[in-house]
Formats: sequence, structure tokens, C-alpha cells
Amino acid sequence: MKLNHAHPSRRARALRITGIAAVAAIALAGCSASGDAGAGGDAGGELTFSNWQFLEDGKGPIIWDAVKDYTGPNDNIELTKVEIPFANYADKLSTELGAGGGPDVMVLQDSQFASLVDAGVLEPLDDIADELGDSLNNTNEAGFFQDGQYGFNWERPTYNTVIYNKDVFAELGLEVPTTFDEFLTTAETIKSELGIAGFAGRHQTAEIDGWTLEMANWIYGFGGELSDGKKLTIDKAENVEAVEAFLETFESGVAPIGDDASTFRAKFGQGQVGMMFENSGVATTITSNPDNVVNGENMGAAPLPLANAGSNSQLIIAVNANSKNKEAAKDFVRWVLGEEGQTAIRAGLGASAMATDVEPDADFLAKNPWATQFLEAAKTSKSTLVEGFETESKPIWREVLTAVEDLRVNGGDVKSKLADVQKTLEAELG
Amino acid sequence: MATSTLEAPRSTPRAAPPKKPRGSGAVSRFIERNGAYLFLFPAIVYLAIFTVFPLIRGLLLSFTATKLVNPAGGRPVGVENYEYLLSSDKFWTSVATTLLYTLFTVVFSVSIGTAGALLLNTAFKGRGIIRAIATIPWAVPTVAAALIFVWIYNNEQGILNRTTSALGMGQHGWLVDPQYGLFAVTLATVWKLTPLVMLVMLSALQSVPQELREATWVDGATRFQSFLAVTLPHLMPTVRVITLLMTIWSIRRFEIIFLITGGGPLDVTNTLVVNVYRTAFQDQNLGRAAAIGALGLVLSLLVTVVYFIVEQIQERQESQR
Repeated sequence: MKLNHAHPSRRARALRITGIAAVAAIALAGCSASGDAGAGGDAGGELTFSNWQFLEDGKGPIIWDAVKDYTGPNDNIELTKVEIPFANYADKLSTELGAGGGPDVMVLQDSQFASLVDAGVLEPLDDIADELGDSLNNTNEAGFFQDGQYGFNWERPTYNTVIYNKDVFAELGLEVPTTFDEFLTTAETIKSELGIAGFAGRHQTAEIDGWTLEMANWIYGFGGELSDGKKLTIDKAENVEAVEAFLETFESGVAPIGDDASTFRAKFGQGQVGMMFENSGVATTITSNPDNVVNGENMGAAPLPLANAGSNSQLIIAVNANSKNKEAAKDFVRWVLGEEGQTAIRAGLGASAMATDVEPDADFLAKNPWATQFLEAAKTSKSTLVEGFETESKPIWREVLTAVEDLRVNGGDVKSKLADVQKTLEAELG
Repeated sequence: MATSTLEAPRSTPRAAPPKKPRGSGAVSRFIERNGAYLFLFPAIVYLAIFTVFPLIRGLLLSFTATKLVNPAGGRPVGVENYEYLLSSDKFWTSVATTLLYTLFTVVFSVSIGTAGALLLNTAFKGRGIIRAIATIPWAVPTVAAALIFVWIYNNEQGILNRTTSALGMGQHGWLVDPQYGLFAVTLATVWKLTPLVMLVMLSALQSVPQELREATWVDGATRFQSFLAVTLPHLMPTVRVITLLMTIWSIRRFEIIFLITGGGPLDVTNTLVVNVYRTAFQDQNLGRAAAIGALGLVLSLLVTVVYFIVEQIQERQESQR
């Protein structure tokens, strides 16, 4: 072999270099081992908790105040918040977790949760489910995936509700709509009588995540589904009807085209929009802004004016399987799901459904009578995950929404367009 | 007294060579022979870690089916990702979008930037202030610029639609209608990049010898003839370099496009880089995203090769004159 015939001095130099490299490697390994020991086990220490909501105006500080004093059962845990903006929360967390890092505990959207469970980077929490089973409500079923409990309901802001400006309705003598036809007539009346938008909603793929939640309202509201659990059902009759109704609404001119969510929500707050299909988190934010014309008392909330329940944006609390402080992380989840944690966090989550049936503060409910509708709607609302295709939900929705956008801009036959999407996705996903 | 003009030079005693410190000979010889490599070593290490390794890793990734959340768990699939992309209409549309965006961005930035530089190179009152103002778009953070343009393009409240309405040109869905999507991101990009071109061209203009221009004037040339004969040939090397750089930057530009349109409406601004992001982070398909990245790299390399071929042809033609 070549190395055996090398010049003795070269061999000696090679040996010296190898020796130095070995010493360096041992030294580095030693550093890393001591680092692990410091953070490892359940002996306490720092626990990192990641949630984009920490950065939300108003809500963020309340949520952090609710959890920041947690010190664990042995009083030796220091909770540290990890703040990542919502826009790149999923990307950043997926990248970190995929690389074996990431926070100890995290709040996730259900679409990301499914992908992470599938990748095996979330810790099974069946033991906690067994311990606390009786006190938890059925919203926690969202954390059960692939035959295991990998998370629990942190917050379920439901989209299954129409919010409206009571002053506008009173001025025009309008009734709250209960069917799609009534809804469209009401929106048209607002537009024609007051010159403001009768309705507003997302309608562009540039806001694909938010639009997925809103479009799911229409699909589910008309009794549709994107799959039957085994195969995709993109072009089923109910979906076609839902898309036609959505397009009819935007073609009628009652809704502003091109406005993104932050724009039309600001307009609603300023009394420039009559109705929106919105989630409880946004309703809380709008009504708590003192500069808004719309407040807790003149904002109304009612079930969707569609035959069936709509969607929700399920947020799940989960534990990192690669956490160095796994037991402490699980203890924190236990605390969050317990009475003390639920009561503390309730203040920041307004009218959203939580893991237990903890009631919102009585004073909050008195000032915000609309909130009870959201609490009720959460029970029947559905996830946007495509059943049987959970980890592929995002590409499926993107294909559907791109087709809907195409139909809105260029027109065409809804049935054949959705049939094309069905074929494309079947070819893609098998 | 006569003296000889051809005196022999006086011999001076030769100075003894300085004594080298014992043992330093080998070190100095080593430094003499390998000094260049020693100085290059940090740069080589940097490039190896931050460029070569990721490039090779990315290429290897492109031959696997790998999920974002499980990058170590990829399975080899050969050229499947490439086959899928090369037979996909969406991919080719993305390539066409990238080329169109690059073409418009480079042509408008370079021509407007050069014209601006020529204008700002002339003497007039307040030139310093105008030069400072003209560079502001380059200094504005891209995120802020993108947000400003989103407001400008807003359907109802946007200043662009208000202006077009006032001029009797009606309102347009700048960010909603696929007809205008590419125009919207190109305009924002040109606004942002033109000052850079202008600054580079301005510095090139200031190196044009004044005496040459004056000589053409003495010979009776007009200002335009003087520009063609003296200024333009001096500017051309800079124009070529800035064009190459702008082309490569435009092929890989992400943030301003993604922030303004997210690749929409209807994928008309879905350039290769936006496509890589969507595939890697939204679809979580790292393998396919790496394949798109590799094909994008080929595109950038092709542009560079074409540039060098053109450069060599021109150099040959100039040397033959």
C-alpha cells in the first residue's frame, strides 16, 4: 500500500499531524460532553419556549406574563422565550428541528405539526394524555396523529364565524344573514347604500397560508372536503359549489380586490367594511384597539351564513424530541394543561378555545359579548389538514388556491378546473 | 594638467554578505516558496467551507428525496428530480420568468443609471445634493422598499392607481392581475438598483481623460461625437462588468419579489429562486429544491460563459484594429 512505502520523515510527520488532530478531537468532544451535561437531564436549568405570539401587539406580552414565572415542580427551571416572527416561524423551526436543534417546547400550526410528527422530531406525550385525560376537552384530538399523542391544544382560533359592524347593520336595518344568498344580498346592500365594502376576505396566493384558512371556510361551509380520507376529492360537487359562491362574491364587487388581510382588517376596524369571516384572535385584536371605530360592543359575531361549520387555525403545544431537557419540557406542558396554567394563559387568548373548558374572565365576556359565539363555533370547526394526506396538505391547498385565483382572474368552468387539479395532484402524490 | 578620461574604476572591497541567523534558512526558503499559498490559505478555507462544501452538498441533495424536517433521512432517487423538473411546464415557465425579469431589470437599470450618471457628471448648481438624493433608493432597506411599493400598487388607495385614474388611464390590478405582476416587481427593482449603476458609471466617467475630450472639440467634434469617440469607449468595460453583475444578481434575486408578490399573481413572478423557496420551505421538498437550485446555477454559469466569450471576441477585434 502506498502509505507503507512513504518516506520515514513523511510518515513521522503524518503521525504527528494525526496525533494533534486526535488530541484536538478529544478536546472538542470533551467540551461538547461537558456542555451536554450542564444542560441535560431533569436537574433543572433553562427551558426554551418558542411561540410567534410573543411578538404580537397586545397579546404577546400578556401570554409571556402568564408563563414567565414558571419554575417547574422543583423550583429550578428558568423559562426563556424564543421569539420568531410568524412570517418565517414555520421555516425557521422546521430547519432547526431537522438539524437536531430547536427549542425545548414550541407552539405549532397543525400543518407543521403533522410534518414534524412524520419526521420523528416531536416527543410522544401519551403519558401526559393518560394522566390528564379527564380534564382535557376534545380539541386535544388535534394533537393525536399517527397513533400517538404528540401535542395538545394551545389555542384554537376558529374561523367558523362571521363578524359584522352592528352600527352599519342598524343604520340600514339589516338582519344577520344565515344563508349564502342572504349574505350576498346583505353585502350588496351595504356596498350600494354606504359605498363601503360589504365583505372582505383573502383571495390571493400571495397570502396562501391565511387564504387556506379562509377558503376552507367556504369549502367546509358548503359541505365539501378535499379528501375522503383515502383519496382526493377536489372536484366533488360541494367543492365546485363552494368555489362558485366564492367567485360570485368577489365578482359582485362587494369585496375589495387586492387588499391584503392587514389592510382589510384595518378597514373593518375603521368602519369601512360590513362583514368578514374571521378568527377569534383577529376579533380580539380589532376590538382591543382604542383607535378603532369598531369595538367590543358594536362588533357582532354570528355563525357562518353557510349550511355547515367552517375551519379553524389549530395551534398545538409540543415538545422537541431532541431536547436536552425533555422531562422539564414535559413538566411545563403538564403545567400549561393544568388549572393554574390554563387560567393564566386564558387572559391572552381572548375568545379562543383552549385545551380545557376554562371560562374566559367574566369582565372580558361582559365587555365583549361577541366572544361567546367564537367559543361555541370552535367546537364544530374543522382543521385545514387534508385527511389522509396531512403531510401534503400545503401543496394540495396551493394547487387548489392557484386554480381558484386563476378562475377569479381569467374566468372559466369551475368543475373542469377542479378536475384538472385533481388529476395533477393524483399524478404528483400517487 | 591633463587627466585621463578613461580611468579604471577603483576597486572597492566587496562587503561580506550578512550572516543569516542559524536555522532560519529552511523557514525563509519555505516562506519564499509557499508564501503565496500561505496568504491564500484563509481564503481557500473560507471558500471551501462556505461555498464549495454547500455547493457539493446541494448537488448531492438534488439526487435524493429529502424532506426539510428530516435532512439526514433522504433516499437516493438518481435523476428523478431533474426528470420531473425538465418535463414540468411550471419549471420552464419559471425559467422564462427569471430570464424576462433579468432582461428587463438589467436593460432598464443600466440604461437609466448610465443616463443619470452622464447627467450628474455635468456641472450645475446643487449637483452634490441631487447626487445624494439620487442614491437614496439604494440605501433604503429592501423590506421597506417592498412595503412602500405594495402600498403604491394598492388597488383602491394606491398612489399609482390614483394617478392613472386622474390621467384618464383607469385603474389596474398591479398586484392582482397577472398582466401587470412582472411589471410591478421590475419597476420596484429598477427603482432600487438604478442608483448603484449610476454611482459606478459616475466613477467611471470621472476617470475619462478631460484632455482627450478637449482634443476632439479642438478638432471640431460636436459634444455627441466627442461622447461616441472618447467617453463611450472608456465606459464600455464598466458597462460590461456592471451588466454581468446585474444579470447574475437578478437571476438570484429573492427578497423584493417575494415580499411584493410572493411569486403571484398566478405564478407570473415565480422566478427560479422563489420557486426554490416554495419547494424547500412550503412543500418541504429539499431534494427537488436543490435540483431547481442546481439548474439555476447552470443558468448563471451560462450567462457568465457567454459574457466571457463576448469579451474575448471584442478584445480580439480591438487588437486587430
